[in-house]
Order: sequence, then C-alpha cells, then structure tokens
Amino acid sequence: MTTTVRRLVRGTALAVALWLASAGAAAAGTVPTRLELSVPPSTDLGAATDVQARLTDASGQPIARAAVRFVTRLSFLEAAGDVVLADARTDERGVATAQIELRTAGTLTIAARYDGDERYAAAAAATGVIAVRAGDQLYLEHAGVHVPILNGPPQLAPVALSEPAGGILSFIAHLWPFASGWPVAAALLIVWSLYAFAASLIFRIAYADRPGPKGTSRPPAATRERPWTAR
Amino acid sequence: MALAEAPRGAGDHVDPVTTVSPPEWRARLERRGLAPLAGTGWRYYAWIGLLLAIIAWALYAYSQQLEDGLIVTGMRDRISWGVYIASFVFFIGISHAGTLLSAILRATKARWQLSITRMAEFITVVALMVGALFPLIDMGRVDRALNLVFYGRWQSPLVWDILAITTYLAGSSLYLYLPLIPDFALARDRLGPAASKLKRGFFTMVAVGYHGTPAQRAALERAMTVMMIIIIPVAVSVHTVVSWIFAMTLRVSMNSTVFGPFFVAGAIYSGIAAIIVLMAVLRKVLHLEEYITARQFKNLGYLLGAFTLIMLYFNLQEYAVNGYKMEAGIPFEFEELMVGPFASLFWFYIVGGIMVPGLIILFPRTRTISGIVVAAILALAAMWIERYLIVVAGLRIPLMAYDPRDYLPSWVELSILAGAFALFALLISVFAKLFPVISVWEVVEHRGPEPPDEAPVAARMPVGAAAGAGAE
Repeated sequence: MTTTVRRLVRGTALAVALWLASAGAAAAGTVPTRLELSVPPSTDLGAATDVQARLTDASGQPIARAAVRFVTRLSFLEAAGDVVLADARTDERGVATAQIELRTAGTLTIAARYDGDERYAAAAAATGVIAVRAGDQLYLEHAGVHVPILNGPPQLAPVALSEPAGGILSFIAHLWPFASGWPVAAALLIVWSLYAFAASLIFRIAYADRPGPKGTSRPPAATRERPWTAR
Repeated sequence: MALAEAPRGAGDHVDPVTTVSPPEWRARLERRGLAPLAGTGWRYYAWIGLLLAIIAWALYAYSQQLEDGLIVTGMRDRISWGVYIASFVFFIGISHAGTLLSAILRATKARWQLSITRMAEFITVVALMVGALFPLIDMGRVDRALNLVFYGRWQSPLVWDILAITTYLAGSSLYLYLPLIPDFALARDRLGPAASKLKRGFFTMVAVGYHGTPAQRAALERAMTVMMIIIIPVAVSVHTVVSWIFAMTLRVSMNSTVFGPFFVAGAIYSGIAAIIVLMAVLRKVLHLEEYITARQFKNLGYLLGAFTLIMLYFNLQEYAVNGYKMEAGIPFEFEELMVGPFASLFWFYIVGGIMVPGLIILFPRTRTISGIVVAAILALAAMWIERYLIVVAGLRIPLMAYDPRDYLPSWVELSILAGAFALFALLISVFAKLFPVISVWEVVEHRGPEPPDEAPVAARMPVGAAAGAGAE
C-alpha cells in the first residue's frame, strides 16, 4: 500500500514538474502543445515493449518530426534522476513510437517529454505505469567459454533460482560444475603432479646414501675429494 | 657473534663439506651468509617491535571494519573497490619478480644473479601471502569466502584467481625451499654453538640430511629443474588471471584484450623494482657489499629500463586504441585521468613512474646504485598508483544517469594498508633471520668471487667492508 502511494506521489511529482516546464514555455509566447502517453499495462522482464506518445497542438492537430523523450524516474539511496529510456520522432500522425526493454521487475512509472522549440511549447505527458512481470531472475545458465561438445552454448534465459538442498549429495552437486571445466582441472592436475614429483625428490634427498661414522655408508671418494661447496 | 670456525657443527660424522679447506673468500661468504642466523641484536628487535605495533593498529582498524561493516571504508555502491583491491593487484604483481625472474635467470644460466635469487624468491612468497589477504579483507564478511568453495563456478574469474594464487604460492614455496636445502645443511654444520639448540635442531630438520652426495645432488638438481620450468607458466598465468578479474567485468575502461600481458609486464616491472629496493636494504643492513655489487644493480637496472619501454608501449596501446574509438564512457575516463581529479596521479605514473626511471637508467651518469634504487622506488610507487587508477578511476565512470561519486580511503583502509606493508616487512625480516639471504652454495659453485672488472665499482660502494661485524 505504502509503495503504491509512494509511486503515485512520485509520478504526480514528475508530471507536475514537466507540466510546470511546459507552462513556462507557453508563457514565452509559443504554441501550447499536448502529449498523450500510451503504454501497455504489463510486460515481461527483458521483453521488447512498444511505448507511444502522441503530440498535438492546442487545436488538436498532430505535430510531426518532433523529438519526444521517454523517461523514467529512478532513485537509489540519495541519488535520483530521470533515466532516458528512448528517444523517438513523431510521424505524420504526431505519434512517436519507441521500443524499450525493461530490466527491472515490478511496476515502473514512465513519462514522455517534449522539450519544445521556437514554435511549440514544451509538453509533458501524463505518466503511465507498466507492471513488469518477472517471477524468475535473469540467469546465465552456461556462462563462460563455450567449447563445443564439452559444454552447452551460452544462453540467457529466465531460470528460477532455488535454494540448494542440504546433505552430502547437494555438496557433490555443487562441485559438479567444476567437472565440466576439465581444461582448468587438467591444467591444475598437471601442475600439481609436477609439484608432487618435485616434492617427492626431497624424500629421495632425505633417504639417499649419506656419509656416516666410520664403518658405515660413505659417499664415493670423488665426492669426498670434491665436496659440493668446492666445485 | 662468532660462527664456529671449526667447520663441523652439530654433526658427529665427517662431513664432505669439511674435507677441503675453503678459500678465504668462500669462508668469508659463508660467515657473511650465515651471520644473521646466528645472532640477533637489539636493533632487530626494535624493528620487529615497530612493525608489530603497526600491525596491531591495523588489526584494530580491521576489528572496526568487522564490527561495523564496510561502511567504515570509503567504498560505496558506485566505487565498490578501492585501496584493498588495488593493493591486492600490486602485491600479486611484485610477487612475480621473484620466482619468475629467478627461474628465467636460472634457466638461462645467468650467473650474476645467483647472489640475489634468494631475496627474489622471498619476495614472491611473502608478497603472495600478504596480497592474498586483501580480497578477504575487501569482502567485509570474511566467512563468506567459503561460498567460493561451496558454490564457486569454474566459469568465474574469482575461482580461477583462487586456484591460480594457491597454486603459485605452493609452487613458489617449494621453489624457495629446494635451493635452501644445501644452505640449511651449511647452517647445520657451520653454526655450531653460535646458534641456539632450537635453531640447530630446526636446521637439521629442514636440511633433510643433505650432505651433497651425488644421489642427493642429482635429486636436488632434478627437483629444481622441474620447478624452474613449471613455475614460469604458473607465474604468468597468475597475473593473467588477476587481470581477467577486471577485463571480464563489464566496465568500459576495462574492456581490453591486452590486459593479460599488460598486467604481466606491469607485474614484472614492479617486481624487478621490489627486488632492487630489497637488495639495497639487505645489502646495507647485512653488509653484503662484497656479494651484491654494482653489477647486480646494473643488470637489474637494465631489465627495469627495458620494462619501462614495454610499459610505455602497453600504455600507448591502451590509450591510443580506446581514444581512437571513443566509446561511451571513454571520454569521461580520459578527462578524469588526464585533466580531472586523477590527473596528478596519472601523470606521475606516466612521467615519474615510467619515463623518469627509464631516463635514469639510460644515462651512465645516473646509472649508479643510488640512481637505480631511486628509479626502482619511483617505479614501485607508480605501479601502486596504476592499480589504484585502474580500480578507482575505472569504477568512477557512471553506468547510469547519476553524477560520478568520489572515493577517498578512510583511516581504516589506510591503517590496514600500512599494516600490510608492515606485515610484508616483518615476514621479510623474519625470513632473513631464518634463512640465508644469499644462496651461498650456488654462489660458491657457479659464480665464485666477483670478476675483477667489477672490483673498482665495488670499491666505490659507500658502505664498508665485506667482512666484519655480524648483522644486527
């Protein structure tokens, strides 16, 4: 409820601001204009959606080749501003059409704006609200490098996010994506195998024949004559 | 301190090491190389105390961050990486020098570097240890690092990063340890009563019974060869993967296909600079003037000089290509870098950090030890700044219709940064106490005394005699 009220207040504020701008222009002696916004009541997240605005003068005659801007007001923490969704020009019927892809789920308040020129005053349209349906979240199922046969092609599709189940099977399941990354695994295996080989040679050093007290194992005479530090 | 003059220490058998009386320079080298291991002066403890105090302060700052969250930092939703990630890249970068340089120079049998390989390898291991902490600190909720283990996807550069860094750290540690074995044996046999029983016990354990028998030598050389070969691609892969964390992020300033080699070049550049600075410090503190001469500084200086050209080339490549296309966001980036809020840092990086070091090394008059050290310090500062610019200036470019926000590191971040540098210095100091900083056996076997043509240069060194009092 509170959210709806907030959106209504926000939309009204936007409309009033735009109306005040157009009123100021009208006072300067230009022809008053009127902008009507038409948006679908709902759309799907990420789907291409047409929005239209019709620009007419005071007598209802369409204004062609005028630049119309579709905006939405967004705020995040302390920042707020009009985000331009699309720019379009009106046709002979005074209709500007733009195609937008909405990437935010929930309801979105959209406004159209005409900034005017030396002949026509600026105009702002009443705001329209689009409900963006999205029960799922955009999720790149097969991200990363696509290697034929090894993994599936990258695809961007809505995939429902689910909570991981508990237990050891779940743990193994979470490790499974790593198995598809066998090039990484193979490289790591090679490197760590070589590490292990080098480390194993330390044991060979430790258990190699070494000089000892009289009567025990001694290194060859050559070594005694040419110790390692003298070579 | 007095090292045992009798070459037999704790051993109760006749060691082949002891069967030939070493020449005077070799005995001096052994004394000098092992001196820091034998005794410790008050200045060392004072230094360690200072570092521990800085680290304690950083821990306090971190406790504030843990308690209140990342709000105590300067990072916010729009610039969500700052000093921490810049420092992470910086430390991983300087870690390159060590092992990579050491392996390349060993592989090419460049013998001049034998007296400095150990220091280079120290830098690698220590810088990796310190650098790897930063992503955890940056996370805020450090316990969530486990999510990467349980829920990590192999497609994620973050997962690659963890795999690469742990692999590199393990390999570098092994590569550091292997050439240390004969020196541990030397310490075991030479230190005698000059070292504590505990220390001798430690050296006996880590020397793994090495006595330089043919079988042991063969095993050691084989292991070193394997590690020398494998560590080079691993080192290159690490910084390439670090660069991918940025290059695979959808940020206009990071859209680059040459970030991998650019980062690797930058890493080697800063790594060489780090080795030069550490070399200068340890040379002075441990009185290693006889073994680390102008020759090592000049040769590393030449390498540093070559990399100034490579860095200039990569910068030209980056800015020329992006500037030609001028995609959305790039004009903003160029403006903030070149004439905007980051201009002083950016031009210091280009001019002070790349061009000036190159010029210092180019002219023989300035290509002295002190000149090369100054060039290295400039290069190090510039490379930290470069990472800062990539991270902060890159994230400052607005993604939506909002004003760009500024980022200023808070006292918490600066304290933790100071703590990281203190930890780096602490680990190096502790390493220098536990391990010989010069690979004594390699210098003895493969290099010998400095060539006579270097003697006049060495004689010009400001600090004193090669032999003498032990290090504090």
